Amino acid sequence: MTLEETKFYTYAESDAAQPPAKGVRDPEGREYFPYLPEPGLVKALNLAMALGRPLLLEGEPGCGKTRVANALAYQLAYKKFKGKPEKKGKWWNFYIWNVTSTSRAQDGLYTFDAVGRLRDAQLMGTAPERLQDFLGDEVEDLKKRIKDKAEYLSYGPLGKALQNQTDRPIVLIDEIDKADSDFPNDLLLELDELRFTVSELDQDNNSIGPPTDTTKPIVLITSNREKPLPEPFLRRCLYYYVPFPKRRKLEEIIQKRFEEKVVDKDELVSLALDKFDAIYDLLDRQPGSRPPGTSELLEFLTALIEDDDTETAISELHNLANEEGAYLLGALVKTQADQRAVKEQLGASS
Amino acid sequence: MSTLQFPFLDLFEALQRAGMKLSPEQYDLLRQALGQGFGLENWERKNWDDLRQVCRVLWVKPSRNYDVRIFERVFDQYVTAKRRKIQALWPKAEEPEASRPEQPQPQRRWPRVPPGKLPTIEEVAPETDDADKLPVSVQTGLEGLPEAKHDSDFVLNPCQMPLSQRTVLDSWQFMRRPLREGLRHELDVEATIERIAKAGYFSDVVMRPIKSKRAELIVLVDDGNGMLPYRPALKPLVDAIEVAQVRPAKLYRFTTYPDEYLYDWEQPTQAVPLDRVLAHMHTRRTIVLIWGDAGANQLNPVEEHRTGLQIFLDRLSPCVRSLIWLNPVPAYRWGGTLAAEVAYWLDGRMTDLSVSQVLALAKQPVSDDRLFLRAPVASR
Repeated sequence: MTLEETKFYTYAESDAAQPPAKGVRDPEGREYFPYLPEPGLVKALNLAMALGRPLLLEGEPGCGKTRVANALAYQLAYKKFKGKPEKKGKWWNFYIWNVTSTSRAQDGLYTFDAVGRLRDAQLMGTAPERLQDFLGDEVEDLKKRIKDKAEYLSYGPLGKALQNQTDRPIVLIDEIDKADSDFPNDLLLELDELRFTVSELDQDNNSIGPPTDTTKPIVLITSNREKPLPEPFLRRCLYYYVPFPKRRKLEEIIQKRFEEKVVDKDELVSLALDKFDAIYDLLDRQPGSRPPGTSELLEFLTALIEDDDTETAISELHNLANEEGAYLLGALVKTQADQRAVKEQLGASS
Repeated sequence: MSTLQFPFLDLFEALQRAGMKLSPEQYDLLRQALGQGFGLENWERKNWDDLRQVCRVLWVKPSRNYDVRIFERVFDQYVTAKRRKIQALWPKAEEPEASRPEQPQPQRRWPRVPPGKLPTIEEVAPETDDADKLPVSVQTGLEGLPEAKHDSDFVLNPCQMPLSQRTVLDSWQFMRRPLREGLRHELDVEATIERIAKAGYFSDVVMRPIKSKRAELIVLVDDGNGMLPYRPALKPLVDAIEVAQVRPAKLYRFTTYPDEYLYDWEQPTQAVPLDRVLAHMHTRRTIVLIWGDAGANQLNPVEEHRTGLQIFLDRLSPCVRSLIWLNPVPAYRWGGTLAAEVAYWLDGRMTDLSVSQVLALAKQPVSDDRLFLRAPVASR
């Protein structure tokens, strides 16, 4: 990569390259919101891009791990197309692989529709003379399809990112810890060498990747620590623990996300943050409980700010432990045991 | 070997010595990063924080072999040593305010070391003024030992026990992974296709049992007096069962070894016949976890305990899907006690409270045969 290209692939906190406060959607339905990264995170991202290594992000749920990838995609598109992507109508190549408990490593690369091919072959083989009756005009399609195995192939997020790229695409492997414990280990070769073979295709055209330095994917992986990840996998990743934002950062985030909606509501916001801090501290100390994250705080504030009457909102905040504020507490504290603990604490202090 | 060619190799080696399992490739990553200008952004002002951040991103991982605490400790020591060296070389060089202060030298004047204990008072504290000639305590080089900065470092809470809440839940996840069991109810598409491919025509479908997640946990806790000190370490598991994070699960008590009766967890005076507990177990679902020292605290094995345990394990093993013995006494203390023998019979299913061992045991495959026990060695 030339020096300029290396320089291009850097992320920086910038006000200009931020999506509007209410968020935008790209044609594929992904949402982009303003994002205020922490300095350490910015450095870790830049390091991962420069070294071409996957970056594993861990942190408490709701601290913005997944949003990092969107923010990076938005900023790269902004730099490349010299303007906001929603205005230019051009977006950065960005692939999300949402891992679930049944995900297999193969799914991210490609799937081969063997059953579909079997059906086509049987249609052709059993009664070719009656095909016309069954399929009408589709017969030609069927004949063409059955000659080319690649027709039954569909690529997964990582598979797509490793071919036909002009820039470095972003691949987000979200919540990798949800999958089977072998899942990360099954991805080692693909993440290391960025290539794979499609065993169903003929030998001369079955190998995908590796990409060049200028089209090498930027791989971000998030994990909620539900399961420990295997060491060989960890060794190949750079690692950053996204800490929970500090009070000042939270205030900035609120400013960015709500903009004019929070003008003249300083008292409300600061009281809400006080309550949030108290709840966070309480649940953080309690084994087995999970303190609320940034996303929950934003929901909580949305509920408060939607209230046109600031006075009512403030009184609701004061009565968080009682009936009046119960619906608000539900936005922050999700289990009954935790709610009971919080109510006791808030009730005692007020 | 020049330091320019291999920058910070001594730091890398110090981290390796302290127990981080870093590979040469990971050192190379640092070289590449430095080559691209990372880590030395504020080097002119002798700021080590950027380097610390880069090394942390490269080398620290959520694993015991890449522990952040080891990293921070070694890095602090390294920086302190380097600063001292630089000061010795250029004593007049101005040391700018570092964002992370060096290990503070003791500022307090109390408590003082009694004067008689030291050969020359003046040598130890030459700079104190006349009125204050008593020596102050001086930090000695306890290299390798973590320094406790606050009293709170000594307070343990259940979250810091070797068996954390997280480990308990992780291992439960592993233990209750789905198994195929019961009648063949599900169409195995892949095997069917394979059969068609082999035979050349469609003859019959292949069925397989449905995967189901139906594990239950039975915890047997030794509550003899000798086990009392270890009770807090069991708390995460008991808590997880009580708030139903681990379920279905049942707790029983026994003393030294379970004989004819187990005792209820909530009401310790209520005896439950062992036969009844065994009869309710399911060979494909029940996972038994035993919490006890297996005699590791007693140097001379008691014959009665040995036979008692043997009979119990022989009766238990055909009834369960898997068996794990958690022994809170560290493994190196088992030698020569009954615990070593029990560990031998159990063929590796006894572990002390090491997280990786516990998780490895939880992951052990479930065989279709009955649980294997090694025959005791006759002459002991």
